[in-house]
Amino acid sequence: MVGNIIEFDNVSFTYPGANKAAIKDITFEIRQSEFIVIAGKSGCGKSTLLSHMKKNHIPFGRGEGNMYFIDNANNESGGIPNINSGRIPIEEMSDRDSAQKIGFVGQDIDSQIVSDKVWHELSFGLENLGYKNDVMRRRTAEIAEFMGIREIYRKKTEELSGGEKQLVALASVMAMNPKVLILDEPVNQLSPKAAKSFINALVQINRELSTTIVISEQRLSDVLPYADRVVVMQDGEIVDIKKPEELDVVFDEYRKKKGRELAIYNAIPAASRIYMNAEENFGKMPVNKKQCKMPVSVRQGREWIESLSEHGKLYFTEEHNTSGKQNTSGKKNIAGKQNIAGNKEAGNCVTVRDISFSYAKDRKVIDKLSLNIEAGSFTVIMGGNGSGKTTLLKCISGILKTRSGKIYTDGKVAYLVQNPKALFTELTVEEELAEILTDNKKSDKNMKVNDQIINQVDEMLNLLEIEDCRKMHPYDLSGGQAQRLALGKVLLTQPDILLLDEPTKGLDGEFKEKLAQILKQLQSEGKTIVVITHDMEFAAKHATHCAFMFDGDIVASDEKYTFFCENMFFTTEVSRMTKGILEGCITVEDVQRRLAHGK
Amino acid sequence: MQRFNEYHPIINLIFIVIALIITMSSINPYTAGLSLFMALLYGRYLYGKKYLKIFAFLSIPVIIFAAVFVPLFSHNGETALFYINDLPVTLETILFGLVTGMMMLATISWFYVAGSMIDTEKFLYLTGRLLPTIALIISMTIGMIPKLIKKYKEVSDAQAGIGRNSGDMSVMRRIQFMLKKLSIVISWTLEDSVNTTVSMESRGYGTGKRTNAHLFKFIRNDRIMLVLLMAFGSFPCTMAILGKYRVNYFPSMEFTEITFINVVSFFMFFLFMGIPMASDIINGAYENSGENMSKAAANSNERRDNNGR
Repeated sequence: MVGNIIEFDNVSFTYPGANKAAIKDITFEIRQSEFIVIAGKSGCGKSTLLSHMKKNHIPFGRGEGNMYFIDNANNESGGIPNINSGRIPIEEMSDRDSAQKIGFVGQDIDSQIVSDKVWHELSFGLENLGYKNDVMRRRTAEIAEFMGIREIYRKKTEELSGGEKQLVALASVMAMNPKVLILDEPVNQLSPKAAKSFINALVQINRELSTTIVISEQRLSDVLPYADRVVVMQDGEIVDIKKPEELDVVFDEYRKKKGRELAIYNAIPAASRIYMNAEENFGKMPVNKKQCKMPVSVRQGREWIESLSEHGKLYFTEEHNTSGKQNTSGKKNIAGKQNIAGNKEAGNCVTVRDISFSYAKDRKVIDKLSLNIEAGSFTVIMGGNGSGKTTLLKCISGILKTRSGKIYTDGKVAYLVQNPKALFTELTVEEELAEILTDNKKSDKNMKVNDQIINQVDEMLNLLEIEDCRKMHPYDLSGGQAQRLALGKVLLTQPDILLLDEPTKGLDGEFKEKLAQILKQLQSEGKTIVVITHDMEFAAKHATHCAFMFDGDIVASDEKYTFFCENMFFTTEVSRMTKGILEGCITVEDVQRRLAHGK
Repeated sequence: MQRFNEYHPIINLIFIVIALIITMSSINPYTAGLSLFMALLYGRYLYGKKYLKIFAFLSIPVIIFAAVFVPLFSHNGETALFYINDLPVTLETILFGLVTGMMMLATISWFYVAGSMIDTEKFLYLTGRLLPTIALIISMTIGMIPKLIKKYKEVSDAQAGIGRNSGDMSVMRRIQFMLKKLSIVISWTLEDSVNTTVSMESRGYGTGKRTNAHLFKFIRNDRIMLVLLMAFGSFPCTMAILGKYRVNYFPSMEFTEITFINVVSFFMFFLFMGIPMASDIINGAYENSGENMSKAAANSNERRDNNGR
């Protein structure tokens, strides 16, 4: 029997000034060497819960209950005697013990890194604990080898990519050989590719070093397949703790009890969502539920759909299939193509012709790229890091001047950078919006804040749904709110063409949905929207057109159904799951509609 | 052998400290002249002709200060050359000024040369040995600068994105705009630093005495070099510390006596200062011969291949 390593006993916590508890009555335990995922939408208390697992992270406020750390092993810390062993309250751990035994990695990439060289960063914790240099060299070498970051050992930390930085942050904590690793949305700011390799490193640490891992994450698709147990949180409470395959039970029970969906519904893998809804739609499963577990990965999802089709219980006939296609892909597909072919010149509001751009002499970031963006479309540009997406937007907006080629834009262009913090200058949210209006009118600089401005600010706050926080400091907003405020600032300049650089980064499902609704509304008002994102599901659900950028060029650009159906690998989970079985499905809703037709 | 800047930082430090102690301990024309000459020679070797140009440019104000200003304001000495406003300008003060200037120039050029021996990493190591916390602060500051520049660029892009370009602004507005951008960068950085503090604490910062990690090794070559430096440097250094090189300028000049011991110590000082350059030249010759040998080997291989066919 494996012992526990962390125990929570009726822990509640209220932030000062808040009237609601951030977490309440949390009682659970984490066993040694477990891989625990904490799931919940942002603001549900995930971070607060995690911060109670490490002494120096426990926030100020009113707390109740006890947290314990159980340390059975003696003297593993390189000969330094272990005074505190056994079951000790986390608050009473010595600073040294807490630093060494409980590792913490947060989501903010840049500010976590202290040193200017990678090897020095890896030694940082060991230096603080007073290790000798030869011990440090050995440990850092070991961990660099283990994590596969040997090539960047001597590099400067500022030269690393986001993914590499986060791996270094992890390795720096691992060098102290902690018993528990606590990770607060560590891949939130990373591209999906970098996120996957980070998660893989975690899995390796868990499987090969048997380090206990507690991770909170918004996009559960990446971590769920590796989790031993999932802690589902809602409104500061633990709803249930279950194995990932048994999550559907949690959802079912919650739905029965409260009559609504759990907030993390949008965060679970597409396969799981389809599975759960299949049951919802039919009342009973096409294949006996006991016989197949809930799929949590693309492969499992595909196997499940295949088994449906083998049992002859896949709910679509040829007729439904075609009707489905007409409803979704077929019509739009044809319409889209005609549109592109018909009004090639008239319908485009951005025409990029053969542009090239390079920052340094011999490395071209954009190479003879051409792109047409239809007026009134919602275009998504996808592609890996360093493929030149951001540079392309900067060229279109005129921030960067191209060396060769032409860019024609029809209307005023505005560009929103990735990090909203780069835009915020004022002390409150409403001043932040008003600043744009007073600043843009160069003729009367001294113009007082008049009614017209107040009206405009109010309207914008309304549109963005952030009236509640109008008096807050912009830095105190959550990621989603900050993103919307930044969008608001850009919108007040009254652009016709809106270029957004990864606005979905770090947002949870609900905020993403809100953002999408705002963007769609703007689109319906005739604005053209161009968005860079790594989030394929977002693109498949909301965009009208998609483009794939690779190696400085747009290699594919199409109406979204054509785009995702013709891509083999670079496409949504649903598309990869259903390709060859159900054609023309790219979103969960597509599959659901198809299944509903079968009914 | 290895180049002098490849030695352990301690070795580089010992060299530069001894050289500076001897140079600065006394305003002696012999030590100052020797030191200046060797520093220039090594600087010329390391950086090429442009070093002499920079040096010439640097030396103008120093010479003006030493040879013109000092005599104008100091009137000690008994050999009056001429009078300005009834105040004597003496030979002693002019010589004193010139030697002081020479000494200052020698010190400056040694510092310049030291830059090639002690890079940032070595500097951090050396400070870290004594003051780990200061070393950390310096290291963090170094890391901060590129971060700040990156942030400033991002802020500029963000502002340009909403149609605010400094290009079409008046000078006053441009300054205002720049200050605004700087204020964004500063509040952003402060916000981040809170995070950095937490991250440092999480990894045990402040829990006890800090050590300093480094990648330097003290190898056999370093020991040999240490012996060499000590063999040539310790004697003149002791002499300098004991004040044997002191020269009196006022009221009249009393130069160092040309005794046997003094000449020997000057000669040793001269050799001492030549060590880094000798080390570099020997190493360079070795490298070149290595290159030639490998080239020759490659050639012979080619020939063999050709013959084989």
